[in-house]
Amino acid sequence: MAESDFDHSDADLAGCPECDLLLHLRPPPPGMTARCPRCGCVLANGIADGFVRPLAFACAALILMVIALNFPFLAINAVGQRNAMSLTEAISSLWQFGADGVAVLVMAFVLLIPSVLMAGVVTLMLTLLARRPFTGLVPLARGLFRLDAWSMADVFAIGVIVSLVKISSLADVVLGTAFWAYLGFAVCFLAAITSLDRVTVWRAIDALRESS
Amino acid sequence: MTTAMRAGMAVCHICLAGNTLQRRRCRRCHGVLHARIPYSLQRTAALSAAAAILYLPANLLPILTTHQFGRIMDNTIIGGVVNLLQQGSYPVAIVILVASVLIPLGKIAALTLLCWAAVRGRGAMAHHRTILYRITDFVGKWSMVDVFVVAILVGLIQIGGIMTVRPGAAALAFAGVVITTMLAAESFDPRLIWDQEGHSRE
Repeated sequence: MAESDFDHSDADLAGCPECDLLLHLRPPPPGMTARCPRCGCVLANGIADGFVRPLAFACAALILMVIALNFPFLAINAVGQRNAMSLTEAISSLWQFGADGVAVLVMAFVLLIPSVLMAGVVTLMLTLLARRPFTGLVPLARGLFRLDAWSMADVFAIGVIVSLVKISSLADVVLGTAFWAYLGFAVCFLAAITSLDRVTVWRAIDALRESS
Repeated sequence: MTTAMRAGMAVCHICLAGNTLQRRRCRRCHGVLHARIPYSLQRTAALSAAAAILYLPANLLPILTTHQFGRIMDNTIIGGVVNLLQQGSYPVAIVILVASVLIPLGKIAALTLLCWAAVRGRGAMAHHRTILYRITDFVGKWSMVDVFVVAILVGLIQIGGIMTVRPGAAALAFAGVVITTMLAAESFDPRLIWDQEGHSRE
């Protein structure tokens, strides 16, 4: 195909990020997936209620995060002594024992980045549903899609389960409210992120900008 | 089928919009555009090398130090796997072995292979190489499991005078391995795999 076959101002004109194939791309109907015909890369997912669903899961995730931060996470009973810990105490003891770099990384990957992402999803979805654009909407959306790779809520959930197995031979472990809240957070986080389709979101932002 | 580059265009990696090559920022999301990531292979190779170097202290130094009844014990990652095997916790031992030992090594090897093939390859097996790239990108953050285990054990096991756990130097080195390999995978431009396929057909 020659260059002239493509209208450079066409809103559907897109490309595959993995193999550079030029194509016309529209958000697929719910339940369908758009894949690159050349390399098979998933380009877009059609999601029913594409804005309501991420909004609902992200709100639930934020509520669960508040609970996870304010209640005891785990406790152990050993030789008549009890030690309870919250998530923030786990991070501060790393800091206290000289692993300040690790403390900062754990806080960023486990608490900060996932929470900021969820707050961003809530803001973005409310804006798209209410059709009220604000300055900073475009950088916000761009930031969300870039931060995604650096959120480790799911990895931390697996880390907690591994720790439980390791500790169970040493002491009795009591699961706290925050433990269940964080597991719930990880599930809602994943549900919110996977129901967020970048092509659908960017098309909606385009439409908002054109109408305003 | 034509590629964006041959049509004089650049694909935005954030919102997938096609843009004319003259633009520096995407018409839709205003993200910075690159027809190909600049110095992609050099960055990936350099970051993979950094990860390989950090892998040594991450495995040789203790990731945890246990103080139990006045006895001090250093635990390395491999030592932790051996302990779990002795306890009979095979599934968890396998999770740690895969996430902490095999995945980082596999990622460094895969990225090196991808860089080498992007320079020397003849566009053969582009599909297989793309799948290798996707796996490398996907498993990236899962190696962080062991660092999170350290965070929880250090916070929880503090029973005054009887048993305390302190973080070891390997924890930061290991987090460094994970972050550098994630950055290395992010700097690798998978479009370079497919550029060669075009050449071999012409």
